[in-house]
Amino acid sequence: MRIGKRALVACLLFALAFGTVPPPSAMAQPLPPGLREATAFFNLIGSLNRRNRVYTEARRTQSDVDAHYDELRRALAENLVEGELTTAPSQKPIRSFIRMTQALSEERDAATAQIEAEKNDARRRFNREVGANLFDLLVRSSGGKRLVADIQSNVNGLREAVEFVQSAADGATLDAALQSLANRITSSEQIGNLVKNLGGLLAQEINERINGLISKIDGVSAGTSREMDEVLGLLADFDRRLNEIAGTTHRVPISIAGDGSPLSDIRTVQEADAALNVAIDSILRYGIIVGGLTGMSDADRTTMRDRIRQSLLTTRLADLSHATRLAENVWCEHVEQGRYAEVAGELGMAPEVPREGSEVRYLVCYTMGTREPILAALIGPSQSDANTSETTEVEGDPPPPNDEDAAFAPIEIHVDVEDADAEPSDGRVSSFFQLWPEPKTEHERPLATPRLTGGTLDIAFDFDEMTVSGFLDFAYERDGSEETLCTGSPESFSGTARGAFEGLAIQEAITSETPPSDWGLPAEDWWPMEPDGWYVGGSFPVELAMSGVAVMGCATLYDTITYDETPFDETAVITSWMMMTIDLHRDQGSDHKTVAFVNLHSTTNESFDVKPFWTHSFGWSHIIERAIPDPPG
Amino acid sequence: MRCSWIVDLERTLLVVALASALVACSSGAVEWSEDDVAEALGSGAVDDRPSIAAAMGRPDTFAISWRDVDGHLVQLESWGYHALVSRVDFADGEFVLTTDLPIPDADTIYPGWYDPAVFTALMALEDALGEAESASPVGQSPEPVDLSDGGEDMAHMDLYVGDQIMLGFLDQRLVYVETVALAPRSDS
Repeated sequence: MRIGKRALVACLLFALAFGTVPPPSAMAQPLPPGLREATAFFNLIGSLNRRNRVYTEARRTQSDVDAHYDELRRALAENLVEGELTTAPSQKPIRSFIRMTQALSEERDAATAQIEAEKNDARRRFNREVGANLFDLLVRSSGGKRLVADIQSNVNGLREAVEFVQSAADGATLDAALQSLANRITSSEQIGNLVKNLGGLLAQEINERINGLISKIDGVSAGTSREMDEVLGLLADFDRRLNEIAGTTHRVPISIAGDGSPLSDIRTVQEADAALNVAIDSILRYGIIVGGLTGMSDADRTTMRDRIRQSLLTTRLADLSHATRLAENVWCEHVEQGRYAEVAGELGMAPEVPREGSEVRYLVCYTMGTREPILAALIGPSQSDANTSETTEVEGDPPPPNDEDAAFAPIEIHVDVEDADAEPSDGRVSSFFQLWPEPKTEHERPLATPRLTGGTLDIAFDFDEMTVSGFLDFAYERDGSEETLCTGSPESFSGTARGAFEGLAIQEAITSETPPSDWGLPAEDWWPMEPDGWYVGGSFPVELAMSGVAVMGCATLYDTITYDETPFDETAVITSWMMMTIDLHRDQGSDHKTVAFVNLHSTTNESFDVKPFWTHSFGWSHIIERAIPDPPG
Repeated sequence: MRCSWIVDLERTLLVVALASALVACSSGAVEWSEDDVAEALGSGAVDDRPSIAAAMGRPDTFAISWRDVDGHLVQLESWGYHALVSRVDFADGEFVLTTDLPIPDADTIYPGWYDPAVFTALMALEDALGEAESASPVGQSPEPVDLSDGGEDMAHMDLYVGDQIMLGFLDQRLVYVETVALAPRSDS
């Protein structure tokens, strides 16, 4: 089965329109007059911590506010570049950056107006009274106290049930006591579901205690008196702790908006999958706290992030897309190397070896209750880091995944640089990598500027969620011997490209013969996809680094999958190809002549042979470089 | 025939975005062109919140406010995962950034019983208060904060405080909602 160019264009159009739906706040109704003033007032009043500073030092707050917003906006811009994300203003993530920065600009102006108003004594007194009233009402909140009391009541009930079992004198009484205990355990599990409403570390701690208790109590029926005493000791300790929490009567409200500076370690969009992005960043921060690693360098943080990312991708990508609820269920700890290696082994990962002489830490995370490991990461330089850039050959096919893991098993692909140094045939400064059926002994000569010198591409298909995810990490170089479409004075350089695409949807084919009107396409320029096709499209950010020049870029991955049977499931024979192109452009029309960017885009597949490479489980393929032919016509 | 204009368009858009970002960075501030802003405000959005909530759980705290940006309603939203010392920010539901939160006190009580998804732009006052009351573990009704001394400026505003939640209204329509933690008071 061949995929026509219509399919490709459908991919392009899909990518351009990918995921764009009306924003949640878009409403037909007109905006109420006074909205700016109202939100400014509420935000200022509501930011309880910041408010203290604002209202006690009103005359100094003006500069504070200006500095705050200027710094936040600058940090966003810097991250935008550091994250090397760029796309059209209508596309994610640029559109949300623009919205946020514009809204922050508006917020700053409105806050400034509020501060100015506070120079009026009457207004300042009014704001202080409102703030004090707000504070008092918040402190009187009682939902959390009720939850703590409910938990405490349940713990007491558990203790009584255990004592009943301990004191049971005969068989009948013991049966009744055990039944009572079983009922209490069920009740405890229900309470456990409520505990998460307390949030934060408290919910984690109580959850952990309840899970530990239930685990201990499960063995009580056959237990000895000593085991019973142990359970009762745990219950008493739990009760004391709850008393301590309930007895904390002096509390202060803390606002997320006013709680410290929002400028520390801003991490912007790095993954196409927002949930994965947040999960990695959160575990990164958690790991830093757990491991006592505060103050680590940006480079070390980046390394740590990479490890966590890889670990999540290779071990628990499925869980992440199936409601893991990390904030409620994850538990991380700093461990010794032996434990790290043990957990890595449990996860089916080869433990990494620290680079000689380097200082590293080991982070292991589990799900609460079950204590099932979900992550093992070496934090710091490893030997594999040193080896990565030297990878030049395909190191033999890795073993095929077993059936259980097939749906999420990565395909590891290494660039074969032996084929990467031929001259371009048509003058285009492009190269692309393509998944080919295995084995592929003869492939068309690469068109290599830049040429790839090593790297990996990991891919995982999730046929439950109908998504495909992956990670690329390539090194490339350019020898400066060729003209490009965009530069008349090419230079030699080398660099790396890395990025990820998460949860790109495997879509059903577009079968309509009429393009959506909002695409604004003339009908003759639009080709509907083959009716039996499936495709994947979307954009994902790529981090790029080059020696000597600053680079920012945007990567777009287009993957088209077709199949020869219905329904589309794991029994179907899948035909897939994927390609990415890299064009280097030099912006000579601005002050940033040294800035190049990489544009990965798709093009026609007319000259490609598309062959099945995957049936029940994934086959192993490798990447080659090839010219991108111009389409006919 | 190749649909070359698509590629050209894509490149053009990339160049525009690149140039915009570079201008922003070289000056140390973020200034988007009017056309960029109009294009961004007029385009759609992907709601990243459900997938993040599914993977991470309900946030411990959150703050949502709706802003008037060039006549467009823009929703800024922050979620706090305090045990993980992480804050997540959205613009119109799209994930924008994560950032650090302070290390929390172990005994801090967070109002994890609220779901940010139920609070929508400009929802009616009685609906928003009803959502806050029904979510409270004790069914606590939000109480109004007296703004009558604020003069004409406050004439159309209402502020309510419930069970670790604050709700702000303009002309009886929700424009601000924030949940707050209750931390043990530090002697310092």
